[in-house]
Amino acid sequence: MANKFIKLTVIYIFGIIVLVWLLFPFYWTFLTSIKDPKEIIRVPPLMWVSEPYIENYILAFSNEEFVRGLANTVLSSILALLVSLGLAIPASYGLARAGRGIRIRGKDSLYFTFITFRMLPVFVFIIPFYLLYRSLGIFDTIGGLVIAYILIDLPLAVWFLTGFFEDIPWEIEDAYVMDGYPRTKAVMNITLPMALPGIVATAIICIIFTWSDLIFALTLTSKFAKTATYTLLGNITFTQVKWGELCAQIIILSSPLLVFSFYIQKYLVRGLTFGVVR
Amino acid sequence: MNKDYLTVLPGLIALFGIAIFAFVTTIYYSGTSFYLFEPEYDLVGLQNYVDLILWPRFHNSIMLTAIFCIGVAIQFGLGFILALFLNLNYKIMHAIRAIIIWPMVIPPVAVGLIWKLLLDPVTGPVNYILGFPVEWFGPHSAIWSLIMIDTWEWTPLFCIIFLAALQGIRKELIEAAMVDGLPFWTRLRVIIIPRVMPIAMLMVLVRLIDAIKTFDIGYATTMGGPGNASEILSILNYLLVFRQGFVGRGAALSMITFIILWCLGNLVVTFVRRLRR
Repeated sequence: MANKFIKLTVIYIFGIIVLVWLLFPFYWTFLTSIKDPKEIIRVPPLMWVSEPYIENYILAFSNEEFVRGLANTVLSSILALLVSLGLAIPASYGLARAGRGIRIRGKDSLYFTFITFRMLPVFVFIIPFYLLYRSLGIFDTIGGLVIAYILIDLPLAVWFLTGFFEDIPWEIEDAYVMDGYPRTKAVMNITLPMALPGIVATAIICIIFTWSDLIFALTLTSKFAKTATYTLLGNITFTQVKWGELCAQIIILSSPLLVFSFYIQKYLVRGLTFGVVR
Repeated sequence: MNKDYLTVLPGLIALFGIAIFAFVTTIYYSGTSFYLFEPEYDLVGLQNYVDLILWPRFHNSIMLTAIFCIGVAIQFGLGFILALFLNLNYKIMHAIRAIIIWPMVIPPVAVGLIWKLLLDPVTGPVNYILGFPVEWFGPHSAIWSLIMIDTWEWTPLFCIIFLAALQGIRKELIEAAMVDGLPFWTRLRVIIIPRVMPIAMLMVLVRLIDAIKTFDIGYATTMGGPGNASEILSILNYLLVFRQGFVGRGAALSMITFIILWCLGNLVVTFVRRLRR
């Protein structure tokens, strides 16, 4: 009995340490976002506030640069995602079925060709993009950003989707075709609905990556197409850091991603390990 | 060439269309004396590469990136221990599992900024809780602080992979071992580690690639400073091209990074091929 009690105590103490380690940074960000400017610079730091100061959120939403940044983030993420999914869904379908009803040779090499793009250093692309975009007139535009984001999304989407498609039993689709339906219709009616949860997870993971991008935005935009991650840095100047507003903006920018996280966890494992761990 | 290739081709063409031109241009720039603020430049062959290899600032950056990669080993260890605990059937473990990936889904630049706030020497809560002042972003400590931030962000990745691998081990196997009275350490060594290790090595490689590419948290916190004390490769590359204008040398640096990542990437491919068989 006493032994069991000790075990339980140890486990809960460990658990609480882990929870604090994980959540304290989030707690502090939120806390700072509801502190007034005087409370933020208080020494020793206040560990909680009795009266939340919501002014920071009002300021964030009336900050034209941040709101436009947010709109740019959403817009460029979604556009790049749509293009990438449009290309990645057929590609992953083909790769997953290669040798199982689809005649594609060198499946592995093709698959890894896609994934290799994910592993390259971004500077290999960014330096020419930076110069080329200026001469093409797409520097600091959503369109230019979307092209760069396809480079993030497409390899990622093929990587994850191929794994998810490999789990689908093809017999149903084939039986449908055997009954005389055209292949495309069978794919639309049977296979895609079965793959939908995986496609949604992939879409979310792509969104998380482009939503979080800094380096492309930093180098390929300067004013009008700045994304929210870039405008976060605008709160930091030589003379001061507007921590209150900055933290409110971080909370606004991160909340959707935190909500998404509940859905993707199990797909993340499956996809990241190239389907080795289920 | 049959029409089945039409499923894969558009995607491949799009990727290569966007990337190949850029890639070839980078190779070309890496052989020139291109300086951003002067229109004229010459072909200099391998001069940029030679200059880099002889450049102390580059050596420093390679060293710091290597040190930064130690973080991956720390994340590996912590992730494994954490996964063993989270695999236990207690309410608090379920609670942790639900939010464990939070650090890795928020934008890395936000992670950097949050930790800059936490570690602030005057108003930061960390030094206050510790009770004594620590200079987190000093000449010797800055790189270790970056490692700590990276560890906060990416330990959850190892943890969820290990957790899934642990749950993939058949229950009967563990139960049989327990009935036989094998102590915990023996179970760990004989049953768990051999089954988890292959996938763990794969994740180490994937994480190493990402660690070498790390940019955002460095940019948000120290920007390579103080001096060059935390100037990891991607930060050096950024400063070189976009602050100082040395496009030629920056392109050469990105090609060197490319070669390193290419080797690691090939290891990943070999590994996955073997595991999927």
